[in-house]
Amino acid sequence: MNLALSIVIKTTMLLLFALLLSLSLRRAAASTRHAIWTIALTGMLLLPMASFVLPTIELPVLSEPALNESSYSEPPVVHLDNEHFQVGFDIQDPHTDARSAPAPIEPSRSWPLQRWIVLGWALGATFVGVRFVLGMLMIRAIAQRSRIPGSDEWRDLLVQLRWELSVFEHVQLLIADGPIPPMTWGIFRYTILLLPAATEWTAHRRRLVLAHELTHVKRRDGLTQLLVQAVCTVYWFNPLVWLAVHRLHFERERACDDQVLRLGNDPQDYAEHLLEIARALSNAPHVSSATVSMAHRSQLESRLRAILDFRLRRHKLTRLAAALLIGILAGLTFSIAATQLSAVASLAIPATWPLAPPVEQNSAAVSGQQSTAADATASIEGVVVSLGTGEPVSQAKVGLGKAGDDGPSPYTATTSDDGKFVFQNIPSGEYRLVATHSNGYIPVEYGQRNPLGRGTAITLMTGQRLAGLQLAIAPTGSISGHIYDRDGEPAGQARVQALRLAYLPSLFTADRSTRPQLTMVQSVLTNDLGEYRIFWLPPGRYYLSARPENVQAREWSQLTPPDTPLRGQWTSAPPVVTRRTLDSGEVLEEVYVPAYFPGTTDPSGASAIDLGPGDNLERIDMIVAPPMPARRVQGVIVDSTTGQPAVRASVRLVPHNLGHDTSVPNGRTNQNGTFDLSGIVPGSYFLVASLGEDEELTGKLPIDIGNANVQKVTLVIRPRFNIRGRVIIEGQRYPGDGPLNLSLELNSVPLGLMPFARSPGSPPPNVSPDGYFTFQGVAPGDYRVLVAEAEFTQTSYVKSIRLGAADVLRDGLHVTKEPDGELEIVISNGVATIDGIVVDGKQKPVANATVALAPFAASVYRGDLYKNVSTDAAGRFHIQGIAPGDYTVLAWEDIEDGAWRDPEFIKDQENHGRRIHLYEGSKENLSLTVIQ
Amino acid sequence: MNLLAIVLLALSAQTSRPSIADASVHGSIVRVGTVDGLSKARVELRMMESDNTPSLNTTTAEDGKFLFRNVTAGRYAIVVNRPGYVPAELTITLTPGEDKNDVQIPLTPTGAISGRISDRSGQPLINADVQAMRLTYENGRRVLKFVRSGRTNDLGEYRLFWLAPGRYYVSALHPDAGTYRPLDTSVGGGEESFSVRMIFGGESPASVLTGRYSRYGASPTYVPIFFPDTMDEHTATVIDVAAAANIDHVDITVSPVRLVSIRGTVVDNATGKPVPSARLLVSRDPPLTNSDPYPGVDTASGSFDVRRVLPGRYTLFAVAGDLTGQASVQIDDRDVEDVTIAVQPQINMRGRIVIEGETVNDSDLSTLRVNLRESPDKPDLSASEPKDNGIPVGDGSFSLRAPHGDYRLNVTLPASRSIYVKSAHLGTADVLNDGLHIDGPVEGSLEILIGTNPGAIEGRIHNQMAALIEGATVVLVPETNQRSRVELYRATSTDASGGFRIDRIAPGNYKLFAWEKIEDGAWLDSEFIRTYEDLGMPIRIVEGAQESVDLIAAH
Repeated sequence: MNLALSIVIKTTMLLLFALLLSLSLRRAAASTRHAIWTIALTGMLLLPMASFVLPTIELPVLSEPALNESSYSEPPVVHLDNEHFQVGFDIQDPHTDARSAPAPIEPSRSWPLQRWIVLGWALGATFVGVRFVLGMLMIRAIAQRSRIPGSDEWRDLLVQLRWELSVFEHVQLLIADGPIPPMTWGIFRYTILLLPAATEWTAHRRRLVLAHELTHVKRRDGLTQLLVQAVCTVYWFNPLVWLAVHRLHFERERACDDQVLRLGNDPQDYAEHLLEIARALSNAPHVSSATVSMAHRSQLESRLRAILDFRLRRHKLTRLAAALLIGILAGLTFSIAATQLSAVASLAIPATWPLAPPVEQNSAAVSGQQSTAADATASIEGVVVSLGTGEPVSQAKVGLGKAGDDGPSPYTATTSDDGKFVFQNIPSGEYRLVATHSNGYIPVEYGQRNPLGRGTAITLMTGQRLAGLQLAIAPTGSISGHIYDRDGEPAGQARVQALRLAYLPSLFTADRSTRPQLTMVQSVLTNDLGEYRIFWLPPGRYYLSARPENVQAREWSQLTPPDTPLRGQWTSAPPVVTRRTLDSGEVLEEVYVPAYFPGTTDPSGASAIDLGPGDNLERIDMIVAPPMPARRVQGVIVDSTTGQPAVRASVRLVPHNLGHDTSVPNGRTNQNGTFDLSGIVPGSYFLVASLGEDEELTGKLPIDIGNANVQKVTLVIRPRFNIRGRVIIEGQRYPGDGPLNLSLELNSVPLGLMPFARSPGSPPPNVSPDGYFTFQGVAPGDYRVLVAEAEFTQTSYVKSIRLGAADVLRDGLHVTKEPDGELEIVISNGVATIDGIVVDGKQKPVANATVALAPFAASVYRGDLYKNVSTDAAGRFHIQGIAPGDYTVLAWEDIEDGAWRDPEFIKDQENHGRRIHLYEGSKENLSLTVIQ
Repeated sequence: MNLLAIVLLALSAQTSRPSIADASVHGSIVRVGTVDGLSKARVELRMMESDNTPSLNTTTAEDGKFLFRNVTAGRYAIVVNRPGYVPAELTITLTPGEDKNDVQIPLTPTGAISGRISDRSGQPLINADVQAMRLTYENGRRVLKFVRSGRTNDLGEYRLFWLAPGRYYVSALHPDAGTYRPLDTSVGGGEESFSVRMIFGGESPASVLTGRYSRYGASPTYVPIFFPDTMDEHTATVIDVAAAANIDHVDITVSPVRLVSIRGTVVDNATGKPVPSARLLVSRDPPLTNSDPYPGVDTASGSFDVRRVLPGRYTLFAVAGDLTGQASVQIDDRDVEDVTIAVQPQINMRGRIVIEGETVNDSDLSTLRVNLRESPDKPDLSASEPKDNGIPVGDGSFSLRAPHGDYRLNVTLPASRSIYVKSAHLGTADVLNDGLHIDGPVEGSLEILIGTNPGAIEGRIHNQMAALIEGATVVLVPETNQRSRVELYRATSTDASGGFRIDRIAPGNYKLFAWEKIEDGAWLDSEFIRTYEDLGMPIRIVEGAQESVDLIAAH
């Protein structure tokens, strides 16, 4: 009991700390706070065990001899309750006399009380435990009465969403026979249960709800739920536990909501769906604590607020952040566990806790604002002007925050009529300075080279008075005009997109063009007069596309003002296919492709529109492209295991280039195993087919579609298989000099809409201590092998990957059946580093320049060899973790992100750069002249 | 080899030859009232009573003509969509081998509403949500149905287009308003707090979900503002959009509004003590049609706080077990405090069903129900009724329980028998025509007489050109002094040969109306029917008799 009480108090401390931490991180993403609560609750289970194992530590705070007297090195048995009171008393008044003389208590009085306590605890625990078990049984009963949805739409949606969310666990979807809230449960095999009304939902709502539930699966919330129940069973008497569980549930749902929104869904729209589902379920019973339920009513209000608050951060928990949180809370758990019960006294002196950095930062920021110690602080002043005209901008919000922290700025100011701002009494340090304006300006950060570029940090010395800073904030512009159809009539409800040339992320470069691609900045629909107006556009070079849009399609789009962190717009709609029956009875099928300003269907022939800061370009009129004859692809999918046609196999045509305006024709095979895809624009595609809920059989086939229909295509789909391999460190067997925590993954080439690389549900391979691993359930296909781990890429590099004679690192992995040999991955820690300085023509250092390292003549599969950094205020840079080889090093004052991955571009610039050969372990020092 | 054979077999099975019995359809799509063909219309031929047959579709040529060949015989719906026109639908039947070439479908042009939205200072409001809502009817009640929404551009301009002709309301919502809901009845209110009540074995009961959510931190408060600059749709201007009309300058200024709270207590009328955990229902008089009228409010402690209420007149209903009560509140621009809702037990009464010329037996009564209804705007309290409320037993006797209030009698009759409610009396009072006012214990028995010899009416409906029309709506409306008896209204539509029949009519005086096209339920709106009053044909329905009429439908 002695121990029990100490555990109760320690766990309470742990929870209070978690509460403090989550409060201090209230502006962080919900996933972070969820992690805090999960870790804290895990800690509660671990704490009793740890208390037995760990050595005891005396807290230094409690050095008062009087307190030590009442500590628990005494015989730990009988007079616990008495001491409990005593210690409590001590905390409130450490000078009282009572503590120094522990009042002896008759065993005959304390024992029955103890028994009652134990009995009470056991009863409570049984009640909570039984409730959970009953809940499980109830869920099983509901699941048995439920049915698997018959329609293919559900399955297709599930497959698609699993794709988008990368959920690889086994997931079964069920429709219940009564009104229950949508819920998810399971630990290894997950089940998602939806209410009967779900079958009548719109495709849009299905998508939202399923995305939410799948996020639970992805986050393994079933496991957390089990943990939560265990904690509740043990600590049912502690009200703080129930508060923690309540918060955990709340943050869990919010984290899932955030994920749904990150998929590009409109927050307002999502909130409305949630509200409607909850309202429809207003009479539904509370089903079970064994599951994770979406539309829980008591927390809905706060969730809706959170959904609609676009200022909130919604990112997932990164591994680094998770590790950090686990570190902090685990450290705390063990330090509390190892502490004697006298540690309760530290409740009064929280400053002695091993505090988490965020709390300290927060308090530092607050005290900094109020600080009046003029000699220890600095000041910053400057002016906000309009980019282009240079006129001062009043009413701009200027924020000063710690460098590297993109959260809300702790210091804010508003510019006066002459555009000026001042920050005083700022502690010295590294800062970022940001200006925003609600009236159609793009936020600007100090040091930015262009309106969308990266900023640079300001170093503030103690006592420094930094004046004369200028932030040029860019006013947005607009492009407007008319869209007409071929007859000169206004084209109503045509999709008009403002496009920008941008480079794709490196993951895409293995199979797609490294040239910049047209990417959407904003998109609008014309009205019935054919008018459009695209506004809130940052200054820059634009291209314009227009295409008629399906009138019945529901528009999915979201437009956010330029001063909000989540900018831009996203839309999606099916293509418009028209059919016409000719007098001969022949059916002519046509499809619309985008037209580019001023009037071409070839993107490379499009004219650029230069939009200056605050420009309003009018009468940018266009005519939609004539519809093109649409092509069909017909054929059969054959199951290689039976040699028979595959019935109800999923078939899709994935374009080589997934552009700003792409549709993916898709369908299923019929009873004869044949398929017929229509409405296809000529071009290069992959025909992709799969069979089974977990895509047990898959296949792909490149198809070029020209000016004729493609018939009698035969695609054989084959079963998945395993690929075995091992990791070797420079001739030694793994782990070599020390264990490397490697994560291995297969990436499809091309990336996007291909079958799952590995069986859905199978875990990524584990590398055994002696270096062996197995990729399980690999689909036949083309891959790139990724060896990833943040720490690893700084200190080691992948020297080679081979499968038999094939060089997988250079040429990729191409497999159709289980390979005979092993995949051999050789890792070396002989990485090279480069330090240097970037100067201009007058040998002056250039701050915030972009330095890029481009491999010389590398294969398209080696996107990992490119590296880039920015110079600091003194023009210096440092690049580490470089694989040996030939490189070109270049520095630009201002460069489009990713341009250095374009070999053609690098070739043009090569004579401005520095060719360099790096050996294993090279440490180079370079001085580069900036390219302007 | 085997594999290849299967593949070829499968491919050949797919290309089926058209059979001789297949029909074809020629037709044209024209602008209504003209013979001008409309190009670029999408025509879909959808087989009726068959979900498996994929529909055929085509697009009209320059002259508006379209053609379907190789169509299996059967009944089809032709659905036409064309940008700028109201979608139309027509039903046709194709016999084997038929070449149907006389299909002509007229399309009505749509209209548009445009304008500019500005804020209080006259600046354009960017990205504001502008909605067009159409006035329609639901159970005879006016309801605003969302039709289309648009966002303003950086000049504050909007344009809502492709609107079917009709009567519209336009509202604008500030982009900072989030999802608007007029009432907020959260318990804690404001920012979420940690002071959650904890109950062992369950999650926090917290607030009842009825709440209306404005975006966190959104201040000042914005609600939808209707044209012209009113937050109350009852004072908003209806915009009549005719075919091909362009209504411009529908400008709205969006200002923040002050929403108020109603606070008070639910007390027991007998003891004067607060009643905990009553169900509180709040409704506006008249209700705001585009909002959910009856949210529940937490009254766990006996007191309540209804937040974010727009100015107007409200009725608060409280139900606590057997106790009910109500209070009316007029809201101006400040909070209303200390509203007391006194609840008291419901009133019990007895009654009896008598069937004219017959002895009542169980089979007649099995589906017969008696209930009392307040005006359709009042909340449904049936959940608090006893299970056997209004269900007659054995000899036709029944019991009823209801809160104080004004009611109309509603008797649900078995569909299998040709019977009607002839009269209902409580003592000498005519409950059927005058309703029932309950303000204390009820003496005597509610005697309901069921007639077994109703009247009927049949006839045909023509248009102005004397052609019989299919799908016209025929409505039998009771004479003026009986218009509150909703059960006397009868509606049907004409069959393919323009004929209709209504039977099981309670004898009495009626007017018969017919419309080529009408919003469902509009005839229950007295304002609407007033404009058509002269077109109604007075009819007297006599017991056991059948009337026969020919009527011209209103356009």
